[in-house]
Amino acid sequence: MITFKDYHFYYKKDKPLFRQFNFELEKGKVYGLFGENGSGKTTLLNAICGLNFPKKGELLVNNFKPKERRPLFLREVFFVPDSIKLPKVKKNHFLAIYSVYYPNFSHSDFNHYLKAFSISDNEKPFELSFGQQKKFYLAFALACNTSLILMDEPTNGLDIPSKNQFRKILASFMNDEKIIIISTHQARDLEQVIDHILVLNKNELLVNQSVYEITDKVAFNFYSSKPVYMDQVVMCEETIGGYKVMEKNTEQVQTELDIEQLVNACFLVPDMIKKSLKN
Amino acid sequence: MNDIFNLKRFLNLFRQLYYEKGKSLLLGFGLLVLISSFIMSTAIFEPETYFVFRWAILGIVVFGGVHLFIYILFKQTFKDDEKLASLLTIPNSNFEKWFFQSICVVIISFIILLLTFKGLEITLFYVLENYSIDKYLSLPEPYLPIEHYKDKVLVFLGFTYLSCIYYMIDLSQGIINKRIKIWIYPTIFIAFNYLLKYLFFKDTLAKSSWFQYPFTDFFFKNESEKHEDYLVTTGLSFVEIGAYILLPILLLSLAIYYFKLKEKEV
Repeated sequence: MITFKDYHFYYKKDKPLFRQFNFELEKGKVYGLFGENGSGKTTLLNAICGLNFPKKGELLVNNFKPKERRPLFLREVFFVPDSIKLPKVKKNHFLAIYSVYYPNFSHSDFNHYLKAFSISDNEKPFELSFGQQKKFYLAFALACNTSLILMDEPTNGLDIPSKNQFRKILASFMNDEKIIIISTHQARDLEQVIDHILVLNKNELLVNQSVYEITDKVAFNFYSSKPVYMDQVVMCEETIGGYKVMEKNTEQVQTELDIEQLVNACFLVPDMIKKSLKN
Repeated sequence: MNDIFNLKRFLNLFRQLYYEKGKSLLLGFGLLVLISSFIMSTAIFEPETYFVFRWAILGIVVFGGVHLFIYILFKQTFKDDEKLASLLTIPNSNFEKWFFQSICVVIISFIILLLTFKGLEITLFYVLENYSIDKYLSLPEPYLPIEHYKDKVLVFLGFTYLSCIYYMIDLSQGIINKRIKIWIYPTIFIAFNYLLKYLFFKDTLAKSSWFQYPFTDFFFKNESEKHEDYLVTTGLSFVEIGAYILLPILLLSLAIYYFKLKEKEV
């Protein structure tokens, strides 16, 4: 469980990044964290794993204050940064150094994930390409079986089959005791595994709802011509062969969530989004 | 207590150091030994020149070597945000991380310094006593009361370790361009100073006492009578080293670095 209570954060006092965040993130969910460049996605992930400290208010992760960076807290958290450069050590040495910190680390899971990513037989992971190093690190992160995993752009640098494998692994990895938070701009890569959406926009958390709640309130449709009645339309985008329309779900038919369109709408028509997603 | 210090977790930091930086550190140490050996070898041919080189070793090899050691150790750690994030999120306590780095910087660099000068001292004695080690070995444990050479010792070691700490903090803030200045200026100053003194006063050099490095307090007669009454000084007993140098430095290091690490953000 992650709890933000009156949480404030800024790098410069006159330019607040997060203002009065009050929300909770529950176990058993894969959270997708979205926002424009500079909206504070990585900063928020850093805050959760204790790499930066609240300026005001409180942040609790599994009942620990992350800023204290206690070993008992850190061994249950794994942060996968955007850019990865593995240390120059052999695979077995890497495991000898780092796996001992994580009590639930599973060698068989690790080998399974490496095999799934097709990099199982390399003894010197630091010599691999960027994408392969990332896969190695992702495999390690998941094999640690920590209760909280934070991932910053995990699919950057992954080839198409690997993205597919990654989705499958994530789906099999999840259980009721874990929280995964994924910050990404590649919404389509992970659309199928994310079950809760967080959107940061202008110092606030504009969206904090499950995929089910969102698609219950708004529908994502495609029309060959522009809708005549715009009363229920939240956003309408012209695209090849027609119009992508995000509209209020008046017919109570659940459609597939288009994260890209939702996030885009958050930046272009934030007030409409607030109104449409209001309970 | 487990949240502050756990031996297994703590020792794992050394394992990490060994696997990740062992080769670089061995290379650095090899270079140190190589340069030291080269300079020591001059003692065989020209003991007077060797006295000057002794200060060059002090400035360049030991002082520079200590910094090279720290540079290798911390370069990667504080290189960029990713590396720093990796250090801060590794499940060791802040105390363990601080204690590990203090051991590496303060204690190991001190041992390098001590061993190098002990090596120099033995080499010098060996050469001046016509390549016989027996007399050196039969000497009683030499030691100089701190009052006599306290200033020299403390100034040098104090400066070395303060610069080590400064250097470490400098790296931790990502400012690495300044690091060379911290040791190259005094080194050049000392080297030039003694080079000039050697060039103009070399006839009196061997008999004067101001160029001696305080290391061991003993006099010995040179049987070849070519070089008389050398004073080779080691300076401090282990108790004094601990009380006057190690402890204050350790505390200073603790005060500065522990809180810095604890408060460090990305």
